[in-house]
Amino acid sequence: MQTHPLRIYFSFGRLWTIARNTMTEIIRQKFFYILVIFAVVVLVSSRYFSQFSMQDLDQVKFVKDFGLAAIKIFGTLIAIVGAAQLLHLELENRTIYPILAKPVFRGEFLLGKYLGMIALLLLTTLMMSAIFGGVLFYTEHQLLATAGRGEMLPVGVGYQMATPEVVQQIIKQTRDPNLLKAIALIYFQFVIVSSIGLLIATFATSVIFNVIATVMIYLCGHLESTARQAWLGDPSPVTKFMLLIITFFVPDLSAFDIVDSVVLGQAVPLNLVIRTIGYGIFYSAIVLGVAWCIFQEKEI
Amino acid sequence: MNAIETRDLSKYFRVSLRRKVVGLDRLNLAVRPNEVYGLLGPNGSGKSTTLKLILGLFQPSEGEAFIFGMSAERVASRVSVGFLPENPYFYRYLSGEETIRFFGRLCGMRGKNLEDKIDELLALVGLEAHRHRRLAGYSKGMLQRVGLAQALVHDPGLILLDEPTAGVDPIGSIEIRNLIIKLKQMGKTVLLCSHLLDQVQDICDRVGILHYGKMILEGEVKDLLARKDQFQFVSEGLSEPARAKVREAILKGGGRVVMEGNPETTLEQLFLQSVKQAEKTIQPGK
Repeated sequence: MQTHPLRIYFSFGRLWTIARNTMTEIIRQKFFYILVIFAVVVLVSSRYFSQFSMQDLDQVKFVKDFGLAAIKIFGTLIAIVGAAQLLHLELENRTIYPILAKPVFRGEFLLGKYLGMIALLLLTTLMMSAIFGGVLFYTEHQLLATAGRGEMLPVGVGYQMATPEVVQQIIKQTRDPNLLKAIALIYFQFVIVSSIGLLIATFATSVIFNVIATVMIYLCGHLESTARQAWLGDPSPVTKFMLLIITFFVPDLSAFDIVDSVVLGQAVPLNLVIRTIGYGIFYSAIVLGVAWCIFQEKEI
Repeated sequence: MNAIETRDLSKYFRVSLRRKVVGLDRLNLAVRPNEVYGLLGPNGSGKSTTLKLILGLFQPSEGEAFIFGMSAERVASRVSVGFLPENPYFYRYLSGEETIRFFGRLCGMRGKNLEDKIDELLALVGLEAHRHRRLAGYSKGMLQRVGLAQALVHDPGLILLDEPTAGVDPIGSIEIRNLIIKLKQMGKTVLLCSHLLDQVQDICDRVGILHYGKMILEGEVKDLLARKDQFQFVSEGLSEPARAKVREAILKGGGRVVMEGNPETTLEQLFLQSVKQAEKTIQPGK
């Protein structure tokens, strides 16, 4: 006669198995390939695009601005589309049946899918960052070569003489450690966006709805602090209630946007970065907790 | 202790605020250990709902289901269950070997133990030659076989098979039937949902027929099918005068000849014989 254990516990082994399989699943999808190839092309060609910038002659600033924006846009697209498909494909293709028919907790399945998604986003962000670093290094190399020839340099608001101060300024800008802080905060935006996408997937019936809803929340998240500043002076209780609801449900994604400061070469305190990352982890954990509760009761 | 036991197991599906549809109505099922039990019924009769309730994919509206004495709602009960879904739903980007490894890992298996089990199962289901091929390139019969292998990977005592031969050609179907017989010999309990009544008749010890979510008939296959008011002889080499004597003896004994003639083989047997004969004489592609 078959005997089974009286109780089984949450297993990191099962979590890792599902996470790893999720990474394989996304990597083998066409949209992922296309987005990654496109991101690589855009990042590599950022120096080429700098020629078309009318306002900005400062090449280092342009490459930093362009590169960080590319990492953010492509990462966000992968996070939104990937998270929207995570559960939907499992349910539509019914691949979830044999998995949940094994001794696997639904929470392990959901968390495993999420971890696979954010691990893949981490790899993608690291890869895009490495390419971005390469382009920055190349830009620095080109500018220093120009300086070596005694020619004028496109830095600041126009062309300047290649003085030792200007060369130092270029090196400081291209090797700015604040760039890493900006990339870290961009990544944690992906972490939040993925958790929102997964939460919506637990009750949404179509990928399109999921993508649209996530994009809406993403946009609201970026406008939240602006709305808060605009509405804070309004004494109306309706406005205050609206503000409370939005602040409670929508993440403040503008807190993660330090790209402008970094591009301008302003220092970003590490303390602020750590606090913002902590907020991102806390918010994602709450969202995943709600997703877990919904998925636990879902009839598959 | 029964392998499966359900007590007044019911499931209602809400279709609108006021209206509910009955998926399963107070099912009391007891599948004994080492039994092959056939759950039959037309489409929408409640077979898949029963399986989903036993697997904890649905929560019962009323009643309970138990697997080897443990509530089916507990995840630990699934340590004893292997499930082959109707039309196998697996990741098409994984190979046969990777699929079994993935499910083995979900069951907590690792290392040499798992690798040996993968080899053993691929041999059991006859997929050794295709172990590295992605499932996207598998035929339906091969998918069913890899599905059976993943169901067996953690050596469960109870195997649930939902239409295991759906869409499979007769040879593949026979192979799966032989595998089920082998599972019984290995001491496993099998719950089989199928539309292929001949096959169910061949391999099941007991059957239950569901309709509109209710169990309308249940019992031992032999008992249910036997016509106890009739008796048959099958003879070979009997001459016409001898047959006449047999008829006379039946009439003298107070009986009546209901039917006589040449017994028919089944279409399945005829198909298999023809294919085997052709394999001996015809070379493929010549």
